[in-house]
Amino acid sequence: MVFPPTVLGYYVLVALGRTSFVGRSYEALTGSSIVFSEAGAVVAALLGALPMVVMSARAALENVDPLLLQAARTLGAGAFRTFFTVRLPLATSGIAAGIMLGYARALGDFGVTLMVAGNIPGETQTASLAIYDAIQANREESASGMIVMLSAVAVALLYGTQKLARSHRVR
Amino acid sequence: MRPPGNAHFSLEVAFELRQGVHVLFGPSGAGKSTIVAAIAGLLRPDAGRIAFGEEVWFDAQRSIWLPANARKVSLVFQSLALFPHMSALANVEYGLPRTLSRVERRERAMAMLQRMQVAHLAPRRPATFSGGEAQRVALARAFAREPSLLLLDESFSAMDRKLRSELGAELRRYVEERSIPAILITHHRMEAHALGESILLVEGGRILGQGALSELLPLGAREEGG
Repeated sequence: MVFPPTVLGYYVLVALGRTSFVGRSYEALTGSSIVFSEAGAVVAALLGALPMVVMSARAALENVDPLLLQAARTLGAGAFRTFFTVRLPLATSGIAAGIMLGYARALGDFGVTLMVAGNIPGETQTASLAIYDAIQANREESASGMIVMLSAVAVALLYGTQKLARSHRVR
Repeated sequence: MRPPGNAHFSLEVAFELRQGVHVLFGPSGAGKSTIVAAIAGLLRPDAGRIAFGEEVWFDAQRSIWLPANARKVSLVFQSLALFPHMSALANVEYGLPRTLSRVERRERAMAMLQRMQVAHLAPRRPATFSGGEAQRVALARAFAREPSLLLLDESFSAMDRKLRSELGAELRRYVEERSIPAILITHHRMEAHALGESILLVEGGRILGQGALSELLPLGAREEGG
C-alpha cells in the first residue's frame, strides 16, 4: 500500500511482461499476452486492492476475543478446529468488510491498471480511465453517467461495510 | 512463567486434591488465575510438575507438556466465554467427544441443558440470554464434557445469592456424582463458605495454607449473620 500505483504497476508489468516466466507461460497457454489485455487489467486491479483486503482480514482475525479461543482449547479443540469453528466465523464480517473495501479500491484503480493494461478503448479502458479521458477531452457529459454510477457503488459499499462493522460489534 | 500481560510471575505452589469442591482463595494478584491457567494448559510454566493421578500433564525436567485440548479439564471463565455465533445447544455440544455420533452429541447436550433448566434456550444465541441463563449454559457446557477436573475462575462472583445457591448446589451434586475434584477461585469469604469444602489460601504466588474452611478462613460473626 505504500508503493505509488505507477511504481507498483511497473513492477507488475515487469513480472507479467512478454519476456517474464509468467508472461511467456500465459502466452503459451492462451495464445495472447497478459499485459495490455482485459485479464491484465483484472490482475492489476486485484494486486492494487489486495493489501487493503489482507490488512482488514488480518485485523478481523486478530481481534477475535482470545478468551473464546482459550475456551475452545479447554473444550478439546486443537488449533485447526479452533481456527475454523471459532476464529474464522467470528472474523467473517470483518473479512467481508475488507473485501468490499478492496472491491471499491479495485473499481477505482487508475495507476496500476494504466501501467499494466493500458487505456485501450473497448478492451482495457476501465470506468476510471474513461472518466479521465472524457474530462481531458472536455466531454464532461459523457463522463457524468460513469461518475454517478461509481459514486453510487462507492456509497453502497461504504454503507455495507458500516453495517458489517455494526453487526460485528453487537456480537 | 508469563501470565497474560507478559510479566514474569513467580509461583511456589504444591498441593494435592481429592474429590470435592476446593476453594482457591486469595486477594487480587495472588496468583489464583495463574495457577488455574497452568493446570488447564493455557499457560506453560518454566519449571515444576503438574500431574493428574498417574497422568503427567507437565514436567519441566522431563520436557513433558500436554496441551490444553488433550487434558480432560473443563474451565468456566469469569466472563463465561460462550461462543456468540453458536446456539446454546451448539455451545454445549462443542466439548463433546468427536467420536460420538451427531445424534448422540445432540442428545447429551440437550440432557445437560435440561438438567440446568435451560432446555428452552437450545436454539438461541448467547446475546439473547439473561445473566443467569448464560451462567447455566456455561455450566452445562463444562459439565457435558465429563471432565476429570473442573475449574471455575470466579464464575459465581457476578451471581445474586439465590442463583449462587442454586448453581452451587448443582455444582456439588455434579462433583459428587462424578467423584471428581473441582477448583473454584474466589476472593469472597461468603462465597467460599457457601460453595467450598476445603480451601487453599494463596497470596503473593504462594500457598499459605491448605485445609478445612472453618479453620483457615473462619467467617466473622457479622458474616455468619449476613
